[in-house]
Amino acid sequence: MIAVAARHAGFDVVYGGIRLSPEEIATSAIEEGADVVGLSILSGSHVELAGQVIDALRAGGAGDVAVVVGGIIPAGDVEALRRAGVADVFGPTDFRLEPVMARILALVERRA
Amino acid sequence: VSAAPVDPALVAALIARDKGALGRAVTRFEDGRAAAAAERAALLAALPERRAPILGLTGAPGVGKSSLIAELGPRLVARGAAVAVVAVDPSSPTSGGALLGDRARTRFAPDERRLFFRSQASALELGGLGPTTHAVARLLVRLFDLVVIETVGVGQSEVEVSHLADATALVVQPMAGDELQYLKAGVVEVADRVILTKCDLDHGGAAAQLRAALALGRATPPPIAVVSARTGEGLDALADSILALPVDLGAQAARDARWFARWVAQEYGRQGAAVLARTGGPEATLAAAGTFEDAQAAFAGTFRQALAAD
Repeated sequence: MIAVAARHAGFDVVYGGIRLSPEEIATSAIEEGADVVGLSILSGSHVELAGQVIDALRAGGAGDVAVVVGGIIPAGDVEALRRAGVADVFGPTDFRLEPVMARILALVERRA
Repeated sequence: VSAAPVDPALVAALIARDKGALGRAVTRFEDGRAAAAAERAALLAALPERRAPILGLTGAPGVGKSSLIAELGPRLVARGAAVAVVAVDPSSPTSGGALLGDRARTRFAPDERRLFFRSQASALELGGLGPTTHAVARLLVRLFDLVVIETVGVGQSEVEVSHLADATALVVQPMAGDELQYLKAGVVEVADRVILTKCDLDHGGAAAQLRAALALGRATPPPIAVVSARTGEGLDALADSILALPVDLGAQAARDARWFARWVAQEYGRQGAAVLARTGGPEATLAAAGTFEDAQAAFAGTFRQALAAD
C-alpha cells in the first residue's frame, strides 16, 4: 500500500519483494542508488533487523541512505529504532498517506 | 570542454564491480544534462576499452522476462560471464511515479559481484526504454561481459530496444494468440530470436505454431528457444547461445546518431533539434567530438551560441 501510495505521489519505487535478508535489502538500495529505504516489518524483531540493514548499508558505503520503518511498533521501541539510526518510524496511527509521503520526501530533500 | 579528474580509486572500484561504486556511477549516467556530460566522458575515458554485447529482452507484460533473467543470471555466471541487467518498468502518466517490480522476481545473490541489477522508470518515453537507458548501457558495456536490457512489458510496436541491443529477443508465452499474431508487423519483425517461456504449461503445440508462423512471416526466421523458468528446461542451451552473441559494431555509428538526436530532442526540445540539423546533424557532431559524451558537451555550447545569435 505504501509503495503504491508513493508511486501516486510521484516517487520511483523499487519494490524488492518480501522476506528479504538485511544484506539483500542493502544491496538492492546500493545497486539502485536509492535515496530512502522503507522497511515493513511485522515480525516483532524490528529493532534488530533495522540495525542490520543500516549496518549493511554503512558497510557498502551507503550510510547516507535514509532508512524508515513501518509496522506495529511499540512506543518504547521507537526511540530504540531512532538510536539505531532509523530516520523515521510510521505506525498504525499514520493512516493518512499524504503526511507519510511528505515526511519521506523531506528525507529525500535533506539528502539532495 | 574541461574534464574533471577521475579518482583512480573509483576506477578501480568500478573495474572490481563494487556495487556501491556501480550504483553511484549509474546514477551519474542517469543525469542526462549536458552539464554532467564532461564528467561522464572523463569517467568512460578512464575505463578500459571494451564493449560487451547488449541483449534486449522484450515482450508483453507477464510473459516471464524477469523470471527468465532470474534463471539465466546464475547460469551465465557459472559460464564465467559477468552480467549487468537494466530492467525498465513504466512510469505513471498521472503522477510521474513508478512501481518498479522486476527486481522482486530476480533476486540475485547480494554478494555476487558478477551480477548487477538496476531498475529504471520509463518516464513516459514510448518504445519500451527509459530516457537514460542508452547512457547507462554505455557505462555498463565497459564493465561487464554482457548487458541485458529488459524493456517495459510492450505491445506490438515498441521496437526501440532493437536500436540499442546487438540482439533483440522477443519473449512470448503459450496461449498468447494464434499464428496471425506472429505474422503482424512490429516487434515480431525486429526480433533476432524468439524465446517461448512457460513451456511446461504448453499442451497445444505453441512452439510448432510459432515456428510455422515465423517461417511464413520472415524471410530468415529467427531461432526459437523453448524454455521454462520453473523446470529449467532449455535454459542451459539458451545461456550458451547468449554467450555466443556477437557485438554489432557495424551498426554503431547509425545507432549513436539516432540516440544523439533523441537526447537533443529530450534535453533541448524542437529548438534543439532545429539547431542540430542546422549545425550538421548528429553524425557530424559525433564525428567531430569523438565520443557520445563529448558530443553532448559540445552541443551544449553550440546551442548556447545559436540562441545568442538568434
